[in-house]
Amino acid sequence: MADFTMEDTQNSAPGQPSVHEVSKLSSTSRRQDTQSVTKRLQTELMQLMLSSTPGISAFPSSPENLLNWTATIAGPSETPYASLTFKLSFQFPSSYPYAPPTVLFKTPIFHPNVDFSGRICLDILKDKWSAVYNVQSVLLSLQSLLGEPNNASPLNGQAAELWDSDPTEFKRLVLARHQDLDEE
Amino acid sequence: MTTLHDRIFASVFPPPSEVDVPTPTATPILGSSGFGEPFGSQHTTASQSATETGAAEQIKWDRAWHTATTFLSLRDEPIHAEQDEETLKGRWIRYAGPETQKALAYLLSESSSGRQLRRESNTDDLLRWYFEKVVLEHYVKHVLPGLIRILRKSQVPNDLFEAGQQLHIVKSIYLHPLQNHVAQTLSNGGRTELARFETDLHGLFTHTLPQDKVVENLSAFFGQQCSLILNGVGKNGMQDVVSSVPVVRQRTLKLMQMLQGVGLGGYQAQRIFAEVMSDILTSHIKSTYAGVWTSPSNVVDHLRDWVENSFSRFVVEILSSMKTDNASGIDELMDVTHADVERWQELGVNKLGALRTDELFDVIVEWENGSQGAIEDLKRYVTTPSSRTYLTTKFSSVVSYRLLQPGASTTEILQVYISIIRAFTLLDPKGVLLDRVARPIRRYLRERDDTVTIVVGGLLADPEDESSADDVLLELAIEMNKSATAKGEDDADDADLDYDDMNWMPDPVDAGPEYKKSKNSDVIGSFISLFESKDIFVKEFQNILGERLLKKEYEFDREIRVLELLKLRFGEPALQACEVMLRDILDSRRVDTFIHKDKELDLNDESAPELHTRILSHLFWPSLHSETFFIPPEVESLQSRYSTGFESLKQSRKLTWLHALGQVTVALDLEDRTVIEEVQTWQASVIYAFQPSPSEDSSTPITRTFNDLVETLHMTGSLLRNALTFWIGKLVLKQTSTSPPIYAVLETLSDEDAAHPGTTSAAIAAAAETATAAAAPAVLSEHEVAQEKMEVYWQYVVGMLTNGGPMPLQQIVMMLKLTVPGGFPFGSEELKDYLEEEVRGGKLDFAGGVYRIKH
Repeated sequence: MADFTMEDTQNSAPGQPSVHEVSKLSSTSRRQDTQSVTKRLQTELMQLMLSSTPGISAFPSSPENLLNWTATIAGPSETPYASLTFKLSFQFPSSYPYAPPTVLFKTPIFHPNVDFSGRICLDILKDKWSAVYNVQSVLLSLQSLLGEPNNASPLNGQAAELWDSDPTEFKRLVLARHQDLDEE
Repeated sequence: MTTLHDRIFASVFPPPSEVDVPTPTATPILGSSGFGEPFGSQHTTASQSATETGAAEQIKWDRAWHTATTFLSLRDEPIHAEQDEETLKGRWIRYAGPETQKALAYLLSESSSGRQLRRESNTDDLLRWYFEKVVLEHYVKHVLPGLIRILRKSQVPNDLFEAGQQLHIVKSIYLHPLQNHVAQTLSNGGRTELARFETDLHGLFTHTLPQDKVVENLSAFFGQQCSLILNGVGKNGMQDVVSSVPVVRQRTLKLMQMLQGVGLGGYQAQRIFAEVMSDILTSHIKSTYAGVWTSPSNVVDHLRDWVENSFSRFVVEILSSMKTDNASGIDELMDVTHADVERWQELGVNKLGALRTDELFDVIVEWENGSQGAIEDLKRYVTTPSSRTYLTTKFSSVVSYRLLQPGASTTEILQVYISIIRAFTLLDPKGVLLDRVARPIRRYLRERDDTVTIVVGGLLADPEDESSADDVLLELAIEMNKSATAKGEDDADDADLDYDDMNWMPDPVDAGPEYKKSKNSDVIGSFISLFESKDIFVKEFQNILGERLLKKEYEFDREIRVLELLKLRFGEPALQACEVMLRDILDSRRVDTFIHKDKELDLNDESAPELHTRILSHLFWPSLHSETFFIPPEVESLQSRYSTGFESLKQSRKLTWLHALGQVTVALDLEDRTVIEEVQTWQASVIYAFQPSPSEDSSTPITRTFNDLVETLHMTGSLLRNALTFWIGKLVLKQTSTSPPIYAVLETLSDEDAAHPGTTSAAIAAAAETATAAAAPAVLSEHEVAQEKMEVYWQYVVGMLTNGGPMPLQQIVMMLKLTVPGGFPFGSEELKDYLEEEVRGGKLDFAGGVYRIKH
């Protein structure tokens, strides 16, 4: 998990204060921020737990810090990703929900909008982010992205090409690339 | 022959006698070289004559010395003190003849020229010689071992008496020749010399006797005698003691004088005496006043009186017997003044205070049985900061040791706490002490889960209800009534601002600078303020109130009063829900009457059941049991008619029926009897299911299987079983078969059935269970609520394990604690049980200490 922390900032929206800058903010306001973020995340978690949407799930990764979550998406049926599960990492900035979380695929995935480091190209995780979105909606969007990639702005050109031209080869590459993460 | 032999022997080897062999008178004067002259040189005439006179003088001295020392030497044998005086006298006392007298006079005279010559040797000072050679050696050889033996026996007080007596005799024997024969030859009657000799003798006694033994004996002796005299503690009862007191007193004084006479009194004895008297004071206070707690207390006055009239008097007597003759400055200090007596009285009061402090916990436990006197005594004691600190520290440690233990029930602790509040309010009206001792108790009580329940239960309890269980804190209810009747107490809050208050007292010295007596220092206030946050209290109050409102008939004076009181303490907003709950119940009555009239529910035929409702605004009520099951159709139709009535009365509001709550009066017409019972709804539904359906033959007893009942009633198994047990206990049903369980109505209660051992014992067991079943609370307990939430927590666990991979129990608990809003209410053990349930259910795997979700 640690080797992704460096890349996390690259995926963050432009103009958003980096972790370093955030730490320079006065400690009181930051604590208040953290508190409100924590509260919001607790509420989201509660909702997520109560609604229990099939195919998606998320939970904080460590008891020390509610700002890091791990999520799981089951590949939608009738897509090349059917019966596969993907792990993602969520990192919430202290300005959440006014800034989007940083989301990465941790399970290697062959997908037009995901690069080989797991970075995702999805508008709502960048400039289209809004405070009404939450973990659940992000996960649902990502789940549907698996079935309906946006081939206009691919991060993985080969995948974008194969998606339309050669579904069989695409499926083969998906399976070749996919490997279940070792459970810690 | 022997004599001759001895003499010959003695002529060669000097006898081991202390008596020097005198120089024979005929000894030729050989002369000796004078100082600074060569040996054997020619003497000058002057020096020659001086030497000659010196030699003659020396011989004279030596002869006198011989005579005197022979007279002064003592027999080489122990003194048997037990012999009577005459025998002793005859044996030990010699009378000096004229020659001896002359010799003594010569030897002791300052002007004796022979003395000069003997200056260098040890034979110039007869008295010194007597002490060192005769007395010392005789004492060490013959007296001391016996004394030590006596003292080692440790038989108080006889040893000391014996030892003292022996010393006394020994001393008089030692002194006798000096007093009778030597003294008159000295200037001034030899007073100085005798005194010096005596001092030496005392020093000898004091330093040779084993100190610890003497101290031990002396203090034991003092202790015994003094307690006999002062406390009148006798083994043979009062009568005997009274008669023997003068004897003992006499004896003690005599001994003291004796010891003083042989030098064992003095400073050391005074110190021991002081220690003993201090102990005596303590033990007197302990034996006389311990456990004497009646109010009004005159213990302090009694003690002062005792100190003044018994204690001090005795001390004066003893001290005067200890006085030495020589008038040194110390003796003046030994005169007992009035100031001393007062100091002793203070000392006594302080010791009494210490005793009461030690007793305080028991005093408080016994508070209800009248132990106020002890507090009155303590009040005289806690006047200094140090005594106050001592009191609070001591008491706190006793409390934590004796009260704040898992073994003590919360009710007990609360009960004692009430007494503590009352006692300390009396002791220190300003409340500083109470504040200090109450802190640890309050902290401890906060940790107990059931504290709130008991406090609230106590507040709402009915003091007139004798039957209520032991664990109900009736004290609180009584206190509540009291505070409700005592009006105008609130004025006291501003007492410090009342400048006309002539009884105003400043805060005690040890009160903090910002100390302010909290307004809630009365019993009720202390309990209500026990919890930092009023939420817990209010919540609990809400639960209990809900319970009572649903159970009781329309009589809520007490509840209303408690609510009003709590509103004063917590403010109205906090208790809004409770207010609504009360309103609901009161409104229900009105609405119920109205609907009954409106819908003409009462005008139905007699056979139809009557229905009354309590309409609850469920948002304001604690979680209620909401199990559903089928209710008899008659009731259901009534309910729907009632609902329409309600909805027409209150537009846009809807009734939701809570079947599980409520009471039913059931009348069962059996063949031989009629059973009328006040039961819960589910119990009624179950018995209704035994009503013969039209297709059934009502002449034979109706039977139902357990599974049938579950199906027809849609009731949970546990609830159904509970109800069946209830009816079996009431001898209305009986179980005819165990597998499958079949139940039948007992239409006729034959003797056989009633007397059947199986039935009766089962019935008894069932009756016990019935009691608990009937008492099942309407409001869900916190635990039950939490249990319901477990379903939600399970989702958390699933989410956690799905995303975070397998985890050990502790980590799961930690994650739950962090992520569940409001905290995770279960401990790891409870979670473990739950998870193990899920493992059995096949949803989880448990291996290698970690839980893993099963896909």
